[in-house]
Amino acid sequence: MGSTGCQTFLDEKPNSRVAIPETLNDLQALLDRSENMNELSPVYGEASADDYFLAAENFARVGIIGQEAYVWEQSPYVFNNDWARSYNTANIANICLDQLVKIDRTPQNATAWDNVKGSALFYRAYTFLNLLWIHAKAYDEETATEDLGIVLRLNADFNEKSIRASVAESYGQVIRDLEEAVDLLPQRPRHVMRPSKVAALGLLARTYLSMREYAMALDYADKCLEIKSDLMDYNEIDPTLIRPFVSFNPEVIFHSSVSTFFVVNTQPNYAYVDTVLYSYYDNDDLRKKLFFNSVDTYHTFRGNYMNGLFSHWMFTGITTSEMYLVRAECKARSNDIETAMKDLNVLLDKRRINTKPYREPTPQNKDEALEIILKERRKELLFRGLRWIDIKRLNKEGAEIIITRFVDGTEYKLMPNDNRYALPLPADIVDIAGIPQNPA
Amino acid sequence: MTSRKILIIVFLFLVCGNGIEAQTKTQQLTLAGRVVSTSGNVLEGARVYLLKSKISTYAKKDGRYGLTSTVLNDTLKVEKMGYRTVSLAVSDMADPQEVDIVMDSVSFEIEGVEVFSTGYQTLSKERATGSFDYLDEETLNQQVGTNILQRLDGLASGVSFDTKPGQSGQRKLDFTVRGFSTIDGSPDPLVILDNFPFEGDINNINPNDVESITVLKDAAAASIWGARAGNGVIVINTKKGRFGRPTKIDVGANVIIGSKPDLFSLPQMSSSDFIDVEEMLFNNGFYNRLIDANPSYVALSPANEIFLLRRENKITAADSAYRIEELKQWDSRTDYLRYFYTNPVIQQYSLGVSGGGQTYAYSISGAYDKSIQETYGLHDKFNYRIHNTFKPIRNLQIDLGLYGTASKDKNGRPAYNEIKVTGTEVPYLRFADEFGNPLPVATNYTPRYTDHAGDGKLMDWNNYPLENYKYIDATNSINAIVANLGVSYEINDWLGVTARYQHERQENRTRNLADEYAYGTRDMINKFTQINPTTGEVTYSVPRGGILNTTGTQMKSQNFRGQISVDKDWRSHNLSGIVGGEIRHTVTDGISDTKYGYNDNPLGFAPADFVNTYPTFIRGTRERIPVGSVFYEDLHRFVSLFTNFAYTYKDRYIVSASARRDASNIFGVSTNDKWTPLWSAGLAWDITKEAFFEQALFTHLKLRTSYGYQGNVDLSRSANTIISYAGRNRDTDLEQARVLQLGNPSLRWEKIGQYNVGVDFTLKGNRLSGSIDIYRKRGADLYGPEAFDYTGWGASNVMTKNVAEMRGTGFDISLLSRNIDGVFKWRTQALVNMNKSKTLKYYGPSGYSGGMLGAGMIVTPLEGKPLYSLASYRWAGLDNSGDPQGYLDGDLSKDYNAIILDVNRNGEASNSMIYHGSSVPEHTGSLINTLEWKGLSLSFNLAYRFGYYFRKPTIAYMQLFNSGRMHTDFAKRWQQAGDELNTDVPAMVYPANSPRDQLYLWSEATAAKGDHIRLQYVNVSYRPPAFLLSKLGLTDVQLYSNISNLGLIWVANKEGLDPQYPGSLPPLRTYTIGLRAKL
Repeated sequence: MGSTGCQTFLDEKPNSRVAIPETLNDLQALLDRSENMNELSPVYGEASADDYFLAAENFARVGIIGQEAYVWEQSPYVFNNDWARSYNTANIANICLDQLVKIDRTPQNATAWDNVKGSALFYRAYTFLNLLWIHAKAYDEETATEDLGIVLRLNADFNEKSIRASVAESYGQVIRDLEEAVDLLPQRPRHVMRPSKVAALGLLARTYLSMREYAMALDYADKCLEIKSDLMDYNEIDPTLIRPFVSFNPEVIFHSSVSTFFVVNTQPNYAYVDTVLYSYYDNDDLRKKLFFNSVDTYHTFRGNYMNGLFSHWMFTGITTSEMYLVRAECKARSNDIETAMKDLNVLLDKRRINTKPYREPTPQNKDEALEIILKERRKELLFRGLRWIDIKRLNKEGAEIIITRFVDGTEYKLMPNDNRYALPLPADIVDIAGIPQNPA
Repeated sequence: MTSRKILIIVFLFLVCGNGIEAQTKTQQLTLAGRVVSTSGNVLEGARVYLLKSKISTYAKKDGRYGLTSTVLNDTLKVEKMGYRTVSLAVSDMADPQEVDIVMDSVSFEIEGVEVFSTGYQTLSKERATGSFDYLDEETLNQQVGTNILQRLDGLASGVSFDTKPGQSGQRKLDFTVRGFSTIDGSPDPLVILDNFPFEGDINNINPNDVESITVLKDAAAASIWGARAGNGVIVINTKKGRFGRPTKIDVGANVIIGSKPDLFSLPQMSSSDFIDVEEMLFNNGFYNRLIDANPSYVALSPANEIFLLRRENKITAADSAYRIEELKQWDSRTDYLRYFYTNPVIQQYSLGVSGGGQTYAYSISGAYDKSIQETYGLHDKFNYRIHNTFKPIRNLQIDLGLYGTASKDKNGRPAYNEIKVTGTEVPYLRFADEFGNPLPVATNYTPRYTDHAGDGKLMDWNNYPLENYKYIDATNSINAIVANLGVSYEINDWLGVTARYQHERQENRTRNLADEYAYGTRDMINKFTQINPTTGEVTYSVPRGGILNTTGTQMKSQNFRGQISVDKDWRSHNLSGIVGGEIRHTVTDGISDTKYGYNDNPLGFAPADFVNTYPTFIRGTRERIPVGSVFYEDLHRFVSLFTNFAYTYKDRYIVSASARRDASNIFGVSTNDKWTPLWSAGLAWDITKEAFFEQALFTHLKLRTSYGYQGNVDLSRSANTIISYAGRNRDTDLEQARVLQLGNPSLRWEKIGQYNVGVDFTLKGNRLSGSIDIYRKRGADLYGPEAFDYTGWGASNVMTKNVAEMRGTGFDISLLSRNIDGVFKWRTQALVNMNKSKTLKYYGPSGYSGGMLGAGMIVTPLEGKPLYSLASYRWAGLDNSGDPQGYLDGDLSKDYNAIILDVNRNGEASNSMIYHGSSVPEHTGSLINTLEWKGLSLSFNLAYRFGYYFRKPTIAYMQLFNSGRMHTDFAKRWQQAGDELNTDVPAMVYPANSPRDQLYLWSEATAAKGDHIRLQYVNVSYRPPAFLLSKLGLTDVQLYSNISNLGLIWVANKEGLDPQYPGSLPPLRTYTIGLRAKL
């Protein structure tokens, strides 16, 4: 025994649906598992931001982690958390990239090969960017090479030691991955759960906007909208439906969401929409109805671009409306007020009651235009996982946004550019990997 | 364990030479002759000795011996291991005398002889170095019931039953052999049916077909089973025909009647208390979310519906009060018992015929079980068994066996608390009006919604529990077969070869048909019905008609084994053993299917679209129509090489050794690593055989010791990154795969090293006999998680490696005392077992946060602690406002979050917690007394479990509010200042505070010692006298009656809770009457 016959007998796979990932099909199937790749967006940033507040009875219900996150305390932030979920996505991408090296790219498999590689790079970049927004300080050209960024995992070897790269290196990696992905991915995806060229362009726009590299952001938003610019007319959406918006609707460029909440605060069964934010919507704004449910005198958010079984999931994907707003903002910043307002009005036209006259805003200068656009950005993109980084970047340029919380009669304030804007890394990771924690 | 009944058949040939020349010249006794076996083989090495003169010798190569003594009248004894000792009186009648001795082999086929079967070979007790426990048919018949392994409870030494669910559903059996040997792996012992592992449902085996069970406990006994023996091995031997026996017919019949469950012993709150809680919640707006939803469709409990009517001013205050009062008087348990429960009855019948001639032996049996369960579920089982043995030519034996089972279960009526309102338990539901007419119960949707939804265009949306089960036909059928073929050939008197093949197959088929009138069906149809608001046209996405769900699973295994056996005697040596190899191949697969619009007559179904989503009626969200989704196929292969040898010198020194290598197709392990050698070695010394041993106190005394390794394998572990295809993505419809396991090339199988020391003894006069075994086992290389930097993976913060270690220590004592042995007989059998387990090395994320503070039901591997343990928050009683108080940093505290956090972070170092001890009994055992007088016999078994803690269930307000989880402790809650002196049950607060609940729920106040003694069974049987039977042409008749699950005799906790079943119903008491007869 022990001969080849025996070996063949023992080499049979134990389970017919089990495989060692070797083929392009295997890798593509890993990337198509949206549960790991699209639905693990982090929520820690959104929970720390100001689109919502917790009423006393809800504060009592969100648990220790939610409570501490609410007032920016260093909570017992250990596994399972956003860090783990994000790196899970990144590592599946890395498994694919590692394996891809062993598969020859041939004329027959080129499309599939490119799609796997482009998708893996996209997912890795998407995840890294989300982590950067949460755990690093806002990008600052001056200090970016010294500020602590994230751990850049570029292969699937789990034994590799974790090192925190700088903010500059981290953003650099995101941009490199995306630039490479742009050339590999198909123009439009087979399904918006899959990365595509238009999604990679959109993500580049997001990245540069968060770095306050507005010219680059403008360029990529423009390229993105060139491929896809569809907007839904909210007049055609039935407000009587419990979930008025469907998943994968025409505005979605890339679909992602938070499906498991490490911090539950922003789920509609706890979070009431910030009252000031809600007051921004006038009665002719269709979003006032479509986005919100009333609970007593407050409102909860229902405007996620998702339907389905789990009503509390939070949509975090890239949409055309976001790209319009990026382009409008960047144009305004380059003093191109007229075209900036044109972009904004194209969007608002689809958001307001079409039977009522609408007086388009007429900003007198760049600052007024920016103020209008940024306000519309908040009104359009709330509960999308974008607000935290928006506060961070805008405070970098003197927006003076102060987040205030009231808990049990105590007032908590988070001042602009506070160290705590770089949210703490998981305590167990700091322990085991020996990487530096963010200062409190 | 054993009622050692030794039936000795001695064949004795005495051949005298010239017996008439009687005068002796010298005063000497001279004997010579040959020692041979009944089949004529020379028995070299047989010990021949004279009892008085103490002169002994051994038979030579040709079987000859010679002895001379001066004692003229003596007893000649001839001993040979594996043969019946021959003993005969000799005197100096002739000189020299030629005395030939013919010895009968202790055939393992002789009934009642204690012969250990390992599944590979049979070992006589005297030649064993390992720790075995043998249960014969009579012992097993002390207990009744349909599951053969359940009968080990309280009868097998070192086998202990528990109710722990096990890690991640890996557990199928509910007992362990010598405690737990693994932390994360499956704790199930390996079950062998005759020669091969049994993979099917244990209920398939009819207890009437079982002749004996051998439990292999230590390494010397079990390690022959290699990588699967880590948790001990249970070998079940079925009855077989024997050569040279007249035809024998066995008939058996019995009826087991169970008591109706005592639902009123459950800790259900009074309806009045419960409704008061509902009223409080209602008034606090707890249900407003459901009531104010648009549409408002979610069912509220009957009391809440009344409160709502009152709030909306639709009924008067007086009317409301009257209706509420009516509900408060009602208890659901009345209806459950009246309409859904009955006395369970099991009937068992069996018939067996066996016999054999010189070259042919057979055994054929059939059995039929029929039972009705306490909720009217039906169970039918038919067993058939054929076993044939042929000896077509000399030295060749062929065995052919077939064992089949066909069983069918059918659904019954709803069990207690199965009917809930929106997932909440309600203690005052009514299922029938005073005339017995079915009443609807709003389980999911409120009548406020269903009464007008669809304006009569939908199907009736009410649930009538009293009717509903009639429209459901859910069956589960099992067809199983075990077929085997064995061929043995004896090459010469000491060498034989055997080849065995077994095929096992089990098919399970569940068929669940809910016809169109079943509530579930109507609900599903309504849910996917669309009504065009303008035309009123009705479209059904789920076709009208019944819903048929079917699942079929199949297990097939094939085994082939080739084995050489040796049993060689020379002078005073014996070498016996086996060497062989086997291959095993097991495939399991399963598939399920759903058919909508099903009709029996005419048979047909309607197509449904499972791909697209359809709008749902109530909320308009789009959903897919559900469809059965089981589909799998698993394949496991093993190749093993094994050997086991015992060398015996002078019949008293025994050395044994075994070794086994296993390989399997466990995924990813490279072939070189698949081979895991496991070995054992044993020593035994039969002191009684020593010349110096004075047989004053003991007639038998044997010391044993063994050491060796048993393995434990988890078939799901792997060394490579493995992905698993996970079906199509629900949104994109694209094929998707997930990473099942990250490559971990260093993984090995678990290894359990065990050291055993034992002694077997019989006191002179056979008054007391027994065995004592002390063992220590060390599980090394156990699978366990190791913390790692999860930045490198993310799906888990731990990586499974062979890092964990555990230790088990204990003893098994088994004693049989014949207190009175005359016409009246009194025997006492005592089993005393101790088993302590301890985790030596383990990394756990937070050992205290979960299991240990919970109910003690899950493994809590914390270094230095038992595998299953219980700990609590320190308890400082209630304060004067009824709030629970714990401790934080040594001070009284009500900062529940901080206390919980402190315990989670600091574990045992936290002075907010207290550690109690093991949550599985460390001391178990039983005392079986048997009284016999003539044909009448009475036996009863007192079983004890000492040395453990359990968690008492109690009230938790969050659970009470959200899911109606009740407990009668509610009535004992703090209600006014001063109550804190008399109660530990916190005051009810709204909103409920989960950490506050948790502190009390898992506090010292709810932990209690689990020690108890229970009366396991009482057995009475009667055997009519033989003369009476022979008149009727019967050989043996036994009438018996048994009462089981008689409950607790003594319990340590002051509330008298049954620690094995706290807060739930204990197994029902059963009464059995039966008959066994031999013709």
